[in-house]
Amino acid sequence: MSFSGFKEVIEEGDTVILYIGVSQIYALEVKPKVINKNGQGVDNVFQTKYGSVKVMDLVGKKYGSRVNLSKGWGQVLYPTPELWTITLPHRTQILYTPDISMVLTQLEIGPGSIVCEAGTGSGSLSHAILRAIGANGKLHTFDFHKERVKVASEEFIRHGFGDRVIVLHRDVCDEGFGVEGVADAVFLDLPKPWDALPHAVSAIKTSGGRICSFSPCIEQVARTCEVLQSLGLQELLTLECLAREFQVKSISLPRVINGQKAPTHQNTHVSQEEKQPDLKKKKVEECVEGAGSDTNTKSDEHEQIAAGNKGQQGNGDFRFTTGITQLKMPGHTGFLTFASVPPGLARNKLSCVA
Amino acid sequence: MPLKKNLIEEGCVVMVQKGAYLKTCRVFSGRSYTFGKRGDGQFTLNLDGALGCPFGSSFRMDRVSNKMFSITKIENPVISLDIVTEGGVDNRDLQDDGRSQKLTPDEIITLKNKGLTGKEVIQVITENSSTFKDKTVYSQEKYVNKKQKKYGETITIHKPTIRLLNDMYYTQDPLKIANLRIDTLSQLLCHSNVQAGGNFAVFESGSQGLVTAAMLQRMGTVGHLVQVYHGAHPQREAVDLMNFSEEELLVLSFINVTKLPEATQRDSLTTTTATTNTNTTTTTNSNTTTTTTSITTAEPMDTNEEDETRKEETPHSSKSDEQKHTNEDSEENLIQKDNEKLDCESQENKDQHVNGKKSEKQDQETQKSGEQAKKPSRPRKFVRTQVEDVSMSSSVLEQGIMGLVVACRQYPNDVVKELMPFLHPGHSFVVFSPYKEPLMELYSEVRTLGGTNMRLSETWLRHYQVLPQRTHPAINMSGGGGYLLYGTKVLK
Ligand SMILES: C[S@@+](CC[C@H](N)C(=O)[O-])C[C@H]1O[C@@H](n2cnc3c(N)ncnc32)[C@H](O)[C@@H]1O
Repeated sequence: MSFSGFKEVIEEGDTVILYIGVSQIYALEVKPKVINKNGQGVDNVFQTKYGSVKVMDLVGKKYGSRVNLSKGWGQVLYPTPELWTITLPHRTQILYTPDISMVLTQLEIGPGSIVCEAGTGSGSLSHAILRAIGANGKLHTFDFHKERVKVASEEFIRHGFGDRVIVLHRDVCDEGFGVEGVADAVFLDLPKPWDALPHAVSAIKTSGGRICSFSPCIEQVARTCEVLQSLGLQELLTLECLAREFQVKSISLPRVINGQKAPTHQNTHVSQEEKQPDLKKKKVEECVEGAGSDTNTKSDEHEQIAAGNKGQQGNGDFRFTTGITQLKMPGHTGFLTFASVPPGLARNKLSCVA
Repeated sequence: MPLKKNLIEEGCVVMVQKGAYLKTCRVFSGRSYTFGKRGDGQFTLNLDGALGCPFGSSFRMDRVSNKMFSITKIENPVISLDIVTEGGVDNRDLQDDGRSQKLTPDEIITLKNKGLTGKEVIQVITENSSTFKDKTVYSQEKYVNKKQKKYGETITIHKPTIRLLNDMYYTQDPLKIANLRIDTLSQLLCHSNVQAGGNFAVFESGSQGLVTAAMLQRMGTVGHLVQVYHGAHPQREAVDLMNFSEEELLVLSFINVTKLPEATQRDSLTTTTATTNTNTTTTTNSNTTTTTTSITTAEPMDTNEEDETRKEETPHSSKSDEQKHTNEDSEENLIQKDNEKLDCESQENKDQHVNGKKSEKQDQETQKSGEQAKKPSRPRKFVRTQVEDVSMSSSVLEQGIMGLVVACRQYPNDVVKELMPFLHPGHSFVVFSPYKEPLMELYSEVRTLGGTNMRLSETWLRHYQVLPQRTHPAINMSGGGGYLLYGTKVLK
């Protein structure tokens, strides 16, 4: 329930975020039992690298407080769509916050907005839309995959968004959105968005609205833009955004004086690291674990470089604090194409255009 | 539910778009508005023809006299790139001697004054360009686009939105809004978790109140947004351009950074909670739970409660109307100052960035005079007196906020330290700065204030031209759109 309103103390039924480190963030549902692999109900105990936590023990604790684990600790954060995006169970490819945030602004979504979305996928974008439209808005979200519709629908209800969302099992390319002239905005994340575009235009209010399509490939974009133009849409805009994260570190570099190496040992000293208690080992573990995980993994390669250079830090070193870029980062998610449906756009001949 | 006004009405703010040019103005019948830079590109419009039309409509400019146009709604706007004829194979024979256009600028102006439509003028220009037919389709199109921008005669009138305001400021001069690019602003909004039905605070400067306006837009009519400001007056230019209803404006209150409620009191609250950890803090706890009841529900009933609190805070409500008046008057002065300051700010920017663009103050004057002349029908800018604002803001801050935003041109770290104590544990803060260095410093400092899950990031934003066989990234792009530091506050 915690997504849709604000509260100070954790209650049963909440979804909370357990934060242990930048690459160890988990969403926990506060409920007594979970179903295990064998289909049996067992006590809801969450395992981490630093020991386990009985999730029901969180009830009564304040958001923002520390949770003790047998070999360390974590913190419970208030759930937000952004934290959900980096912790949610993936059922499909998902959109991440840089794209999601751009979609919300470009589609001009706000409290009271009526939005159509297809496909629902894992609901990553849906959560951000649901927050933005507020209690008086409505999200119509569609997916032609039955199981995803069911799971997403239950998830939205658990997160307190039940009243503002309608989740439907439907092929939007074939059958459209089932609503006409009601939406302020339509968002498409589909393999063939052009087939859904005429329907998307009909779903938009006659007074006009905004449309967005997300596609990984440029050929999809080209075709989408052609159709958008032929439908009479305006203000076409295609863009791409990528977030770059910096790791803040103090670096000291040995000097070379008189053409010779200064007498101090070569060393890159790293400080200001996340200081998790107890475990010195932890950092290393994070490196290992981080290798294959989410986009926010901070590459610790620099540290490894540092670790390779054993020795004291020299007094004569040049020291500075800097933001270190990731050695490897996601280079492409997809292109976002936006367009406006002008007021009074003729829609009768829409179906024959496509 | 917020009023969704879809029609262009007398007294509302609109955004006039002609090609890539975008400018706000407040529409009044019978008035004319001058747009564009002095000289050839400048034009004066009477916008009466737009009244009653839906936002987003396009209009044809009809010449009334020399540079003066009236406008008529176009029913089926066409995006006219059809002037392009088939292109030359390549441009090996192209000679750019500056004389490829046979018409002189004077002759072109005469054409225009003879009343040819923009499209006709462009057609004549391309016909008289000896090099046009030798250009590739790609460069022909660029040529036509360029000419269309100059002589094209349709405009579109948009509803002011955050997207378009950001666009406008950014094309005028990114430094007008501290280079807060749309992707950065969008991420800031998401990471702050701002939404209808919570308490939020923002410290903003150097970005025309755009951050405040954007947060307010995400809140609708439910919840509280406190703008903490530094200096003589709040930052609200963009807020005033958004056509917010009085109901929406009630969400926003202002407080000068010097008038913040006792930080010591707040500090002790946080430290007690922090040191004794979860279960204790009985006094403060009960205190906060009672106050938060009003904000846990994001329902419409909240407005009633808000009304009640307001009455409580200002027992002499009869006096308040009078106060509002004086407040408004002084506000007019402030706006003047604001404009002056704006000018010198952009001057400052120019100095900072020697090779930066020219500041655009040219239309400001026309608009200012337009607004002053019709002052009576302007909606009220401030919905509360300054005194009411301060007490409202204080009480919101004392209840605690669920999201903190700092976006300023000053050194942000002191401000963050000042405001972090008001943030509820478990909730998010976002700091924007055009520079990375203060944020790197803050990254470690904010840890001592309970910051966790922190990220320092910037975004890359790239626009694309999408055309058959000619798709490629835009020729120009912004080199950077500022930096964000965001994270969550926890109990220490
Ligand atoms: C990449 S996922 C969407 C992810 C989503 N944007 C998110 O952030 O979680 C695409 C979804 O579209 C659905 N889909 C594909 N074609 C569809 C169609 N014609 N009608 C409805 N859903 C469709 C797929 O089942 C899949 O779940």
